[in-house]
Amino acid sequence: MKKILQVQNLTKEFKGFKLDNISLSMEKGYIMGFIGPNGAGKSTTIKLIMNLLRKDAGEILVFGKDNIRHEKEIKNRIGFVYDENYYYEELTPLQMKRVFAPLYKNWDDNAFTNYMRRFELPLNKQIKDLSKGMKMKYSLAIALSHNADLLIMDEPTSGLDPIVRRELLDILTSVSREEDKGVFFSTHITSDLDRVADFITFINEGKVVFSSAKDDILENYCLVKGANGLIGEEEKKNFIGIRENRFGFEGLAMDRKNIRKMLGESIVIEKPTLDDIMLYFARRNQDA
Amino acid sequence: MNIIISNSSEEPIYEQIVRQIKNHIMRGELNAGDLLPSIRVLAKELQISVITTKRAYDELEREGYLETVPGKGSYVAAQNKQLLREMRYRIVEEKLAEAVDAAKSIELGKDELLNMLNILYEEE
Amino acid sequence: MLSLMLKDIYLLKRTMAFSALYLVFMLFVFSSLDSAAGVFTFCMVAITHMLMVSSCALDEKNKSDVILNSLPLSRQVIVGARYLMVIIYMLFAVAVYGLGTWVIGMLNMIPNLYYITLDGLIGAFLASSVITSIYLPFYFRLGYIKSRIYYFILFFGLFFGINLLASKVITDSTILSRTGLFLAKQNDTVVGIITAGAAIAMLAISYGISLRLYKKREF
Repeated sequence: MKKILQVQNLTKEFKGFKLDNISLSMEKGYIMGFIGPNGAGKSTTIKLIMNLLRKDAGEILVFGKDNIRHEKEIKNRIGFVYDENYYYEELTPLQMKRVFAPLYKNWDDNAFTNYMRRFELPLNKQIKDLSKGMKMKYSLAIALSHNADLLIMDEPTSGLDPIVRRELLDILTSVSREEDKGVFFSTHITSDLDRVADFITFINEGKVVFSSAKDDILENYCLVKGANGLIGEEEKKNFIGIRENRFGFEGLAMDRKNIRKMLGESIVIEKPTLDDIMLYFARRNQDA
Repeated sequence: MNIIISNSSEEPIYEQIVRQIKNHIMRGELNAGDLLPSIRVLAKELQISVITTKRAYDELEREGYLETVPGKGSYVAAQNKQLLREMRYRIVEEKLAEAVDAAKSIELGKDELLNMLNILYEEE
Repeated sequence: MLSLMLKDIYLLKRTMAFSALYLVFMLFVFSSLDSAAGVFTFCMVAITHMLMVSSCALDEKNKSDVILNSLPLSRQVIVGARYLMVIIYMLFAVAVYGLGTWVIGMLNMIPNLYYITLDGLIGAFLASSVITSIYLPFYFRLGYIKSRIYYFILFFGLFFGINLLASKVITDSTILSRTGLFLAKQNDTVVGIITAGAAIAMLAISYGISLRLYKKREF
């Protein structure tokens, strides 16, 4: 399979924050969720990919090509949606389109018109008068109207209501499944990704915790619940994290068979959500 | 063909797909030579990962239920009648084993169990 | 490049209309002063800069550096478009001034109206270029908000400087008169070419500096 995004040992240091040796890669036609708590380095990574920040070390290949040396060619094939509206609020969607369209080699005006109609977006209202959801959909319409092969989204769902979020996810799945586009999607709302994502890259405090197929991740980890007396210091070593309350404990662990053997039949073992996994990993790092 | 995915089930999603497609084949709702939706279409429709659907199809192929023709798609494999029968036979066996286990757990005797079976068998 | 220029025109439509009104107002103000000849230079510099700064301010407000640099656009083009737009603003200022004086002259509303001459045009072009060339590198290095501080210092510095220079010219005009004499010996075309050439060279150097600074920017 052809890799459309490869990040190798990417490092970038700011005052008080370091993106440390990030590596990940994805293929076309798949959706990769890029998750992590706020401040984990998701936006920094995306900005480095888009060459908005300059890396200290490492390599970024998009469509197999260096993202700086082939910047223009690459950006012709990337559609982007950012969490804030970075468009000119004083312009109308139509005016903004007239500015953007000539910049893209493969601009498809029919596609744009169709998306504008499908999203029920006004052409002649100032962008600042659109709702947050409409602004996101407008960004998406632009991102999908120039035959991009890779969609890069930085927290596109933040601040949106569940209906619009669902709508966005539907579109992303259909473009990735039908048109073979790759979708790289950062979010701290992981429930968006529990179902549709193919791969998950989880970063925390500037480091990659894991980057692999979502199914493997969800199968490898399990959520264990049981009575407080069951776990002592020795048992706790088998957990990534544990939360105890007066009536019992809940923890994230890896090998469910082993856990079952160790703790017996009285415990409840459940499938974790990405949120559970993220939470326990983030807590572990805080404690350490 | 219906496939119902439960997110809250303990059963992994790919296994849910495998089980349901097998059932469709065994019940004769899917016949040899029928074209199945592509893994991408299935993933899109069910709103799940492509990797999950691919894994399900791989599993079905390995067990001989599906045949994949590159560039064309996945078809229901021609099932040997003998094989199909054997398969169903095995299911009966499995279910009976479960029944025996359940009976043993409440110390139900063999005669009583056979009796129960007789009644159930006649009922249908 | 043209796209970015189109964007500025969309954004500045209102500011442009406003600057036309401003120009008429200035014509009236200056007509009551003795130095009517300065009105053209002043208006052109003022309009060019009002438009340039408004455009920079809107870009900053919309955080558009992030968008512009995510598009298939090189930083050369982003910087270049700004400089080209300044030339468009100058042309706009000239056109509006020409039109304004023509209409006012027809209506005979102001007694000592200063019409555009080639000398005046070149002088105004030079003055606008100087301020642009100094301002834009600051803008590309620091962004609009921070660049404003430098801008004010420079802008006022220049204006007081010009005043000082002007008063010097009136009282003791050795330096300028010598330059003036040199220029006076040449014919108008040569003077025009030298001045315009200087202005263009300045813009070109400024573009080079801006680009170098902008290439180092992070967003």
